[in-house]
Amino acid sequence: MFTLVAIASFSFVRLFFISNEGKEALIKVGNGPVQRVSLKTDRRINLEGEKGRVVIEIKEGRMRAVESSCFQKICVNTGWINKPGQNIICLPNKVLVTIEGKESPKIDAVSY
Amino acid sequence: MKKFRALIFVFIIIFISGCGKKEYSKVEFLMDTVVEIKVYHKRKAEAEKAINSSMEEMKRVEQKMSCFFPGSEVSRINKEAFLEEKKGSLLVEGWIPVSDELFSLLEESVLLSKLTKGSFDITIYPLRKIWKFEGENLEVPSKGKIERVLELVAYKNMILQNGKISFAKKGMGIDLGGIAKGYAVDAAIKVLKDKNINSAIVNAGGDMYVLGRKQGKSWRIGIRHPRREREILGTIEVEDRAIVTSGDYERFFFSGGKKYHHIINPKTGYPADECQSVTIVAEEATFADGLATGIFVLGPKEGMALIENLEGVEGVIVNKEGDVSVSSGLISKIEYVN
Repeated sequence: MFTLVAIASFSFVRLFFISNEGKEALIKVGNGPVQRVSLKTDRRINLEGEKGRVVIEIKEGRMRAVESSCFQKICVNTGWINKPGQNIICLPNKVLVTIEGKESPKIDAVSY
Repeated sequence: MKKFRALIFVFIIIFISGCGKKEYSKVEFLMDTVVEIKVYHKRKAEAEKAINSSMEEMKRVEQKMSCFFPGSEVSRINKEAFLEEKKGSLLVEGWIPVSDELFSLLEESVLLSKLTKGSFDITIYPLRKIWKFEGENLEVPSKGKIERVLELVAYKNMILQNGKISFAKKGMGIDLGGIAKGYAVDAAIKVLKDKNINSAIVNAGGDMYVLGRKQGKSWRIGIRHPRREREILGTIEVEDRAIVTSGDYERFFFSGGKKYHHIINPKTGYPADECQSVTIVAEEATFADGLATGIFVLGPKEGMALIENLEGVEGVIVNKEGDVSVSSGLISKIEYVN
């Protein structure tokens, strides 16, 4: 009984705290403050990066970089992201977009 | 009533464990990558102060060690230090004094060069200047240019003595790109420790150090699959360790249908092609960073032999065919995902 209650309570606490994951994204441009955007509303966001504009599109709960002033377009080629922990990085423009939460609850960081 | 008491007890336990150390983090663009410092600590103000000081320390290191900052100590060395030949074979010594901090790092670089038989070499600077991996119109430098510049690359021609540096040939220089990120991570960790933080991760674009344990457990770190962009090769559990990976997928361009990546072999002048990725787990990020770069160039066989010979060092090497080899101390600890 004790274990059961413990498990039930733990699941409840976990559910309660992580229910918001994947529904919001964090955007950081340069060393400015982190902005939070909801993935529930479809729209386009224009960001003024270090080298120029980066356009982020949010559609049906996922997001991607549709345009960027950078040369290699690594950010645009990343394509759609929709899972917690996934990100779009444009180093020349110093733009970082991350979907809130961890990629996998089992992994703390990835070495690459 | 008993059940009710048990329930309350359970909630208290959850409350205590949940309200112990909380996570605080900060992300910044530094050293041409994304740097994240994450701290687990009881007191918010202390944690945030420690993170800010730690981030400032990384900025300080970057400004001192980068050969791309005109005002850095490294840039000054590259401009001024060489042995100038004078008429009548007289040598005028161009010795440049170096700060204690940089001097120790230069000595560690030489040690890494010796260990990797010159595969890690900070005198790669002249090659770095002709190979560009960022910006527009990227192209492969001409063979003649590479050959000319290659004569200026040799760690043995960098002379360190009594806190001073000199180069044996004019045009030589140093680029700490293969070690400075690791050094900055170690420096950041040192600041966190000084501020009484005992659970943290400093991650500079995938090169990291994990301090202590995370909420009572080891840190679980994924190693990127070198050929599948968003996938992980496997995971390892670590505490108080640096984990650094060098891969051919980070910075590259295509020319004539061939891929040219940023890890240049200081002996050939062209990108090293023996490995897809090398991950090093060691006690210090500085050493792990230099070793990962060096072993990437050295190749999988000699590289793994070297890892096995070094105490406190473990590693994972993916060779050019995609075969994975894991050092003896990690075999039982790695969990394969892909």
